[in-house]
Amino acid sequence: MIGLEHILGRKGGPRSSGSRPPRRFRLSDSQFGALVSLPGLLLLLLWVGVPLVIVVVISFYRYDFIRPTKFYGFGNYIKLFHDRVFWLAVKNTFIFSLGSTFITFLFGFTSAWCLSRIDRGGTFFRTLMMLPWAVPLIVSGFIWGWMFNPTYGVINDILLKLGAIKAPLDFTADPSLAMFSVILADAWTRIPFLTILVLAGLERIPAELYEAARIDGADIFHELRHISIPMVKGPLLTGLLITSVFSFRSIDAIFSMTQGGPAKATYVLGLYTVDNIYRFLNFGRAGAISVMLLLFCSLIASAYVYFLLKEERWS
Amino acid sequence: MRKLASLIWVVLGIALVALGGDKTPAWQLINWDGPVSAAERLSADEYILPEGWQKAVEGVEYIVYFNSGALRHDPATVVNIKKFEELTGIKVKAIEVSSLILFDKTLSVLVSRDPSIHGMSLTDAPLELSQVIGAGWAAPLPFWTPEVQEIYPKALVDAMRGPDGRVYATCDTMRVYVLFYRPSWLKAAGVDKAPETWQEVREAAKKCREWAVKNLGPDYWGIVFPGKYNLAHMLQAGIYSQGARVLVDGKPVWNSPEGRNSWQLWYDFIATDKSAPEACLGYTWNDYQEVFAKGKAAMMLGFSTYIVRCSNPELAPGVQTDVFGNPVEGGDFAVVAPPKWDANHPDSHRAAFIDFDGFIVNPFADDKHQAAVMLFAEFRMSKEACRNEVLVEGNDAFFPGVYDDPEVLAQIRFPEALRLSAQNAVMEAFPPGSKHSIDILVEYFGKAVTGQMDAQAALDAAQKEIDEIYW
Repeated sequence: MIGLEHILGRKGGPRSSGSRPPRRFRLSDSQFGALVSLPGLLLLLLWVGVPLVIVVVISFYRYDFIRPTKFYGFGNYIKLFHDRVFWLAVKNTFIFSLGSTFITFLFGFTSAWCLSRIDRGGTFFRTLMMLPWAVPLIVSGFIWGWMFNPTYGVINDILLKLGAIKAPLDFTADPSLAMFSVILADAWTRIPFLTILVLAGLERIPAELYEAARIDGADIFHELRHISIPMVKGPLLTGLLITSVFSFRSIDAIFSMTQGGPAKATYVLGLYTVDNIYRFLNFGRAGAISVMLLLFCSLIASAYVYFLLKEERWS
Repeated sequence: MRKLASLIWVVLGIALVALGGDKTPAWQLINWDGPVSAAERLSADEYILPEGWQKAVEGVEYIVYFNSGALRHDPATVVNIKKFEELTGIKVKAIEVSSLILFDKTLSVLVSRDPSIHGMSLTDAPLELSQVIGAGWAAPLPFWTPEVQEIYPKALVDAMRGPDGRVYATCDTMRVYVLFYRPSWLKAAGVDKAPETWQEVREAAKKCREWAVKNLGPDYWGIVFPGKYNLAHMLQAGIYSQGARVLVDGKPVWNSPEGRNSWQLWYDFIATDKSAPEACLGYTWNDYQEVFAKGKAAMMLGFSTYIVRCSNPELAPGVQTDVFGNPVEGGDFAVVAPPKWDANHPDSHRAAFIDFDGFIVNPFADDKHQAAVMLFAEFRMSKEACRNEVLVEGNDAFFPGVYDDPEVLAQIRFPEALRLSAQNAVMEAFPPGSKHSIDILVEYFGKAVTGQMDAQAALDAAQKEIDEIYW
């Protein structure tokens, strides 16, 4: 049996005396890394690369089951740029993504910071904090949908009983409230993820730093501003990147709560893609929207990666 | 010698391949129309299997199909599956798929040509079938002989027909719309009789809402309806009640004079009269009926299948008492046929859309499984199976002869309303692209109701975009 070290050539195998040493297959660390990455890369190519190519190809076809399928050049893209609903969906997607990321940041960071300062019962609170993460997004959407229901939802019931409102609020039917409702439902499941990341970063900060700051007269807000936030910038940016890209293409909460309504007030690009595939059977246009969605996501990711690298260089 | 032997083998091989390529599909081994005709087999009190079925499905142990929703909500389907299994020995595996994603799953199977799902339900059959058939995603069903077609409602059969004249689906379940109302609520609000016209419905809804605000609370409404996808059915009811149709030369026209009236009516319920909640904009086909079942609405135009649901204290606790809290045997609700537009219209205009779930056979499944699913599909449209749909589940019967049975009639609540609704119900099979057109309608209706656009301007804008789909 050939050992790993033999393949790597780091430790020699038994040599027969007097003969020429056998020619060993030597790999550098980076070559070895590339070799073991190959299966993963191939899978990635198969599951992501091939479908991506198919999507791009389909986006150049008129493929709508109404007229005969034919090569359409940039026809789908040109139509898309003149499509009122597309731009509405772009706008809503940015609002949704920014809103969800902001709420996730607000609650995620605060929770992580609080959790990092809990001495007793920390495990209990951390477990409690993780629970929303275990709930699938689509289920979370349905739960929030029921809670927001103006006729039998618990939120309206509580607000009515407290006297905070006189009539039930149409959380999912009022265009101004609908976006807020779906953002809240989406962010609820993303907060634990950011909390974990930030918490891990916060716990890596040496306690001496805080002690030294306190000796210098720093209060809790100074510590937060001058120690905690700068020291967790890396994990925080990574978390925000993942949250914003995921929420940018997420439709689960919207699908289960409003299905893009009322009057398309919560209609996002992901939903427009799904509708074009599964409801309108316009595969060509769905392909073009998917490509645009990919471009938008890549742009967001690029911005974050730029800041992340800049941060690392600075560090 | 060796060369000769090789030659013989090659010739034999070619012959075998040629013979194999010419193999008769399994469903053609079934004598669907003889010696007992298909019409006779289907009309028998107990379904009769066609001749030659055993040979056709030899080796098939089970069939798999997508069922619309959970089986616990489909007790008649469970009974029919059991009966089919007893008859044929073939197990039926029903995969329970939520109606929200049923078409998505179906489409995934068909696009990927997955042979492992042998049959599929289509919940929006009037809108989906034309596209599914046009794409070659449904197998033509051989048991739809001209005599069999004569038995069933012509409009429904036509909705399942392809451009080549063949029929590609069967009807899983069908539903007619009826007007549900709470007698005690209407009476308390000063409405003496069940509304028969949409104008009367509007007045009654206003009175019921006014009374409810004073006596029940702000979240009790005169009428509720779906503002999402099934909004189209509501608009259709208004249009049909005036004797008109939506499709003109095969394309949907919603802003006809009758369409404008209907649009305005549903808009007025929310925006002008405030007798319906703005929450209607978010209601699916199920949500608004749940609101009624919870006792929060005085009226709704709902599926006849909800009669059974509303009769069940567990499923519809809100309508088991009158509005004063006194228990009512069988529930405080009643139904009448959909209203006509106004008193000047004949009773034949008391019409609404007839909705049905279609069932298709996956053409990419192997031929033996296709044959087995065809048997299952045929059994489910038989008189025996349709009778179970009515008696066990309260669905409407695709096989009209079921209603000739006095035993069935004796067990149905509100038979006269159902008869009139079924008799006048309208089926229009929409062309490809119609789901998109309804999506546009729903959006503009929302814009009108939320004050972003004038109601009629919104309808015109919607129609303009709908027309662009069919360019």
